[in-house]
Amino acid sequence: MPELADFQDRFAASLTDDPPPDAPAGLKVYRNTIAQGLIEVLAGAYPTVQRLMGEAWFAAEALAFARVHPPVSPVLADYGEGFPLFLHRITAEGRGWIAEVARLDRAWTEAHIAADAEPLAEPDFDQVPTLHPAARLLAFGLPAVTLWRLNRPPAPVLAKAIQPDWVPQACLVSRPADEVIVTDLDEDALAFLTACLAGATFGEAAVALLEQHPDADLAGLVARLLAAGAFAEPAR
Amino acid sequence: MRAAAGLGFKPEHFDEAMTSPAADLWFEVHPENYMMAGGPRLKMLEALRRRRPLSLHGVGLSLAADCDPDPDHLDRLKRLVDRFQPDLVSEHLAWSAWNGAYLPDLLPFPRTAHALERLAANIGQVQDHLGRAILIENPSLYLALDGHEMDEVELLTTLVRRTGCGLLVDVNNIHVSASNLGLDPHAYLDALPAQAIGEIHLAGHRIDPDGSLLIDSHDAPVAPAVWALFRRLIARIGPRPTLIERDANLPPFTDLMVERAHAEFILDRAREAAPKETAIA
Repeated sequence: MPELADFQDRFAASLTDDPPPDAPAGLKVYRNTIAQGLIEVLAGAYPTVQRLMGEAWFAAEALAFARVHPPVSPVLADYGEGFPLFLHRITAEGRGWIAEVARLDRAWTEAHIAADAEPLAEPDFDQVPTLHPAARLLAFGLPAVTLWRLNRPPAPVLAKAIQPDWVPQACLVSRPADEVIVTDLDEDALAFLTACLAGATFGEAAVALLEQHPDADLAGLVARLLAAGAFAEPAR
Repeated sequence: MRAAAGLGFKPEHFDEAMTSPAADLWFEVHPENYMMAGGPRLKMLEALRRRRPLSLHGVGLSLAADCDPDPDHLDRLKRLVDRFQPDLVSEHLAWSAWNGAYLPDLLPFPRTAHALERLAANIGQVQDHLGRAILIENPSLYLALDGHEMDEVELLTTLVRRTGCGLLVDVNNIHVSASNLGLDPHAYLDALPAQAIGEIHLAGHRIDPDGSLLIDSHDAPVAPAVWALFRRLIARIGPRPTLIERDANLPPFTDLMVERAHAEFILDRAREAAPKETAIA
C-alpha cells in the first residue's frame, strides 16, 4: 500500500478509536474538532431534541450516532437523516416522543433545502396533484407537533413541564415561500392528502372524503393546503 | 475584485451585508454550505452575489487524500462555480475524507514526494474540471509528524509551479503552526512566492485547555501578533484580497467591520506605496 494511504488509514483510525493514554495533545485537538463539529451539525439539525433533552445528553447521543453513521459527504446540511431512527432504538419505553420530535426536526431540514418549485395556485379536479418538493406529510401516535411547536428554538424556554393531551397528531411541513412552515392536519385533511399521495386526482380525493364525511369543509381544506404550498404547479 | 478586505458571510448578517455602503467589501462562503437543491439559503447567496464580489472557500475536496477527488463533490462545486461566478475559488492543503467517511476537519500528512505527486494530480484534476485556477491554503498544524521530506513552503511553491494554482496565505494558521511546532513564522512568510499569493486569511485563535497548543478556533478577534505578521507580508508583496474569518462567538456585523477597517488601513498604506508585483490569481 502506498505510504500516504497507509498513513491515512492509521490516522483516521486514531481519530475514531479510543485514544491511548499517551496520545499527543495535538491528536486530541483533531479529535475534539471533529467531535465538536459533528455535535454542532446535529444540534443545528435537531435543535428541538437538544432543547428538550439538554446539551450533555444530546452531545453524548450525537457522538454515539456519528460513530455508527459518520458523514459520507462534506455537505453537512443534509447529515443526520438516520438520527430519528437511532433515537427511536436507544430511548426507553414511554419516551418515544423524543424520536417523533426528531422526525419533525428532520422534516424541517428537508423542507428547508429541498428544490424550488412554484406552489400550485388553482386546483384542477381532473389532475393528480404533484406534491411540492419541500412538502412532507407526517403523522404521529402522540402529540409530537405540540411538543415540537412549544420547544423548537427560538421558542422561549418553558418554565413548567408541559402536559399536552396525549392524542395522535398529523402535520404538513412545507415551504410555500422562503420560510418553512408547519400546518396542523385534522383527520379530513390527512385523509385527503393521503389519497392524493396514493395517486388520486383532486376530484377523486374530494369524493372519497365526502363519502366518508359528508359535512367536511372541502373548500376550506383545499384552500388551507394550497396556502401551505402542499402542491407544486405541474411541470410544463 | 479589488485587493480589499472582505468578510466571511454569515446568514445572521444578511441584511447588514446587503445594505453596507463599504467600498470594495466582498464576501466568502464555504461552498459546502450551499450545496443543496434549493431553498432560502441559495436565494440569499444569489442576492448577495448580485451586490458584492464572492469567494468560494472549499473544505470538502480532501486534496491531500491518497485518492482522486470525489467526482460527485467536484460536480457539485462546478455547478456552484458556474451559477455564482465567484471571483476566487480556494481549497486546503489537507485531507478530510477517507474510505467513504468525511471527517469534518483539515488533517495533516507527511510532506513526501509521493504526497506532492498526489496533490499536484488532484489540484490539476480540480482545475481542469472547474476550468480555472484555484488557490491553496496552508493549514494550521498541531502535530509534529515523522517522515516529512520538504517543508510546507517548498511543497506549496512546487505545487504553484507544477499546477499553476495560486496560494491563499492564512496568516493566523502560520502563527498557530509556528507556535505549536516551534517554527519561525517570519522565515515562513518571507519565503512564500509573492506573485502566487491571491488571497490572505486573518482569524482569531485561542489556547487549548491543556495550555500548550494554539487552536485555530475562528472564535475571537485577530490577535496582535497576527496583525504584525500581516503588516510584514503586505509590506513585502503589496495589497491582496484579505478576509476576516469568524465562525464562532459571532459578534455583531459592525464589530467585524471594525476588524475589516483595520485590514483596510494596512492595505491602503500598501496601495499608496510604489506598486509591487501583482498576483496571478
